Amino acid sequence: MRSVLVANRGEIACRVLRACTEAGLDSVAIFAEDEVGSLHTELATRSVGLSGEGPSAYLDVDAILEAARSSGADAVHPGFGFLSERADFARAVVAAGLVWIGPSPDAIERMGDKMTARITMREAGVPVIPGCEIETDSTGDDERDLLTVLEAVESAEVEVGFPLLLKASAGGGGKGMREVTSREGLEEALRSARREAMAAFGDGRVYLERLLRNARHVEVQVLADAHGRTVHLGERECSIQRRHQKVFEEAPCPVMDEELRARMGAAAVAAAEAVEYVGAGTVEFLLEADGTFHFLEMNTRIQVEHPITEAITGVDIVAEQLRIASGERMQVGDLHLQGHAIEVRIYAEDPSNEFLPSIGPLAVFRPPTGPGVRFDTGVREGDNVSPSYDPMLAKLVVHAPNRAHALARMRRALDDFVVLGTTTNVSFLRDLLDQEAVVGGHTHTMLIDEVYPSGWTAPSVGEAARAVAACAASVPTRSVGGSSSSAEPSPFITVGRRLP
Amino acid sequence: MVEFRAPEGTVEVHPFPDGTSWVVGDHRLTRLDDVRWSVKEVGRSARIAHAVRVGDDVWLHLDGCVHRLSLVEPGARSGGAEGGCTAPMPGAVLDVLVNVGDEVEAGTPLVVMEAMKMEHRVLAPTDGTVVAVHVEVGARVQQGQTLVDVETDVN
Repeated sequence: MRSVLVANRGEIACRVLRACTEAGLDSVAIFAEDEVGSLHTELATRSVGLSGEGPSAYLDVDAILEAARSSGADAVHPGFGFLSERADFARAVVAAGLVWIGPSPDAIERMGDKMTARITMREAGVPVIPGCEIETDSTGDDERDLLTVLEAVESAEVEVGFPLLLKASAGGGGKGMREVTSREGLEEALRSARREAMAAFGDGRVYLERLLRNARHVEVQVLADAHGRTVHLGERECSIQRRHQKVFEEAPCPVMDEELRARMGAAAVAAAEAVEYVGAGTVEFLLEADGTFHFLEMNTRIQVEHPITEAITGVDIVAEQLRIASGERMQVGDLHLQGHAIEVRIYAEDPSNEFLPSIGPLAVFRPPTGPGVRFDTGVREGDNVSPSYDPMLAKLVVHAPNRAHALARMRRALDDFVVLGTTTNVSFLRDLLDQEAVVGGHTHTMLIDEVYPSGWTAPSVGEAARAVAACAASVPTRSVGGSSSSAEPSPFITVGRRLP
Repeated sequence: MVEFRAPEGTVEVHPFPDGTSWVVGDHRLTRLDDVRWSVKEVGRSARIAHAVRVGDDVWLHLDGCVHRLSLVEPGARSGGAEGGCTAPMPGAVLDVLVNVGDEVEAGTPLVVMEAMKMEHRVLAPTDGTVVAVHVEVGARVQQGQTLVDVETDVN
């Protein structure tokens, strides 16, 4: 392995490209027509333009393989999102004679289809959430399937019970997921979930899970090499979510003890071994207050929040991915956790308006620095945030000797972070870090809805802030953009958060 | 004098130049570079603010908070009688919930869109009457494209 093509963009492409440089490997970046000059293209040894704009450019398997061929790359790292969990892409990479930096296409397939994964896990002795898989034709007749599903749900009701979650078998990121509290809401939720799943994944199959309220989302990082060694790197607590997407993650989990960590770690290793997993992966669990845990799903790729595990274990997970893909043994010793790490995801979104994605220029973009602060991003000051791509701009990670110190460090870092010109969730995150449930570590997946039942309101403008604004308006200052940005509130709400 | 829009109405602020600084009420502000300001209040230590103008808005960061204030420019548009409801991002129309002639209230869902693989609703910005529907179910729309025109009722 000499040259790695990174089939991604933004923050994760930058992360992987930097790892390639550190490993002494050449690297190749790819970019869509609307991303000429973006940060990730500058971090690669060479970069190859794709035709077309927007995410579809990064989903064009043939174009990406051609980019690998023309640039002389001999390996492909998919990052996360895009093609990272597409078994057909992994197969195409291998068929083109390239090294695929990830698990086997077969493992991706068996974990990617959530219903198959549930069945596989049950057989491997890993506890799954009480629920029911419903076999239907993925693209078959909608009305007939709807009846099949309704019947199956009714017969499964005794076992699963309300409230329940409808989930897309091909799903992820909360897409095609609906909470159903009673039989009356079932049919509409089913139609809506299937429609969203069809649109997002081209596969409308759904399954049922009991809705576990106040459970924690705890996931275990695993690494496996081709020499038969599979280890876990401890857990990450990722309970704090909005719209079923994580915003605040920490490691270790505040309620973990050695005994529970050993049991969850063993379950995660068993899950990976059940599909003969090779590479880095994450096994997600729901952890209930009484210490029982259930398999949720396995992500067969590098995860957004991997840096908090890197911070407390001292393992460079992307470097290990490269090592494992080239056939070497992983260089990971016994598990020793050090201190506490927290990550927050910086999104271009409006937390005071249902977390709707926002756009605009990054007129001022000054990330925090200082001890224990890591900032991974794919943008820099002067860039424009486009509506075409995922709204995650960056992740901010802190590491400190203990949890209280890590919280204080994150508050300091968020206070220091200046982003002007595009609305972000930074002020919201700062507020979140003062909430009692967060400070006390009493986190669960419904926390944001409970703490902010009627949404979050931005802090009011004080006298000093008005004075600054008036002076800035009175002098010729750096001025950005036209008058396209409107002060009107967006006449737009997102349905997903209220009807998950 | 600078005027900003605020929830409670227009707010006037009067900065007075004083040597290399400005005085606004109890605050003395000194410009440090093209985006940074020192903000000194009597009896308190100086704080650093960042501010930049983007279009008709001033964005600023002070004490860990970001604020966006909209300038009221002389001769600025005072809001037309028609409210066009536009797509805030590219996507597809899943459902059109109103017809021409419908009376709607502010907040009435007009169109269901799929954007960023999530379902969203576009809401009426004001009370009024639907005077035009520009899209049909299945249409792909661009960011900023007008979906529905709502005319404010004039009594």
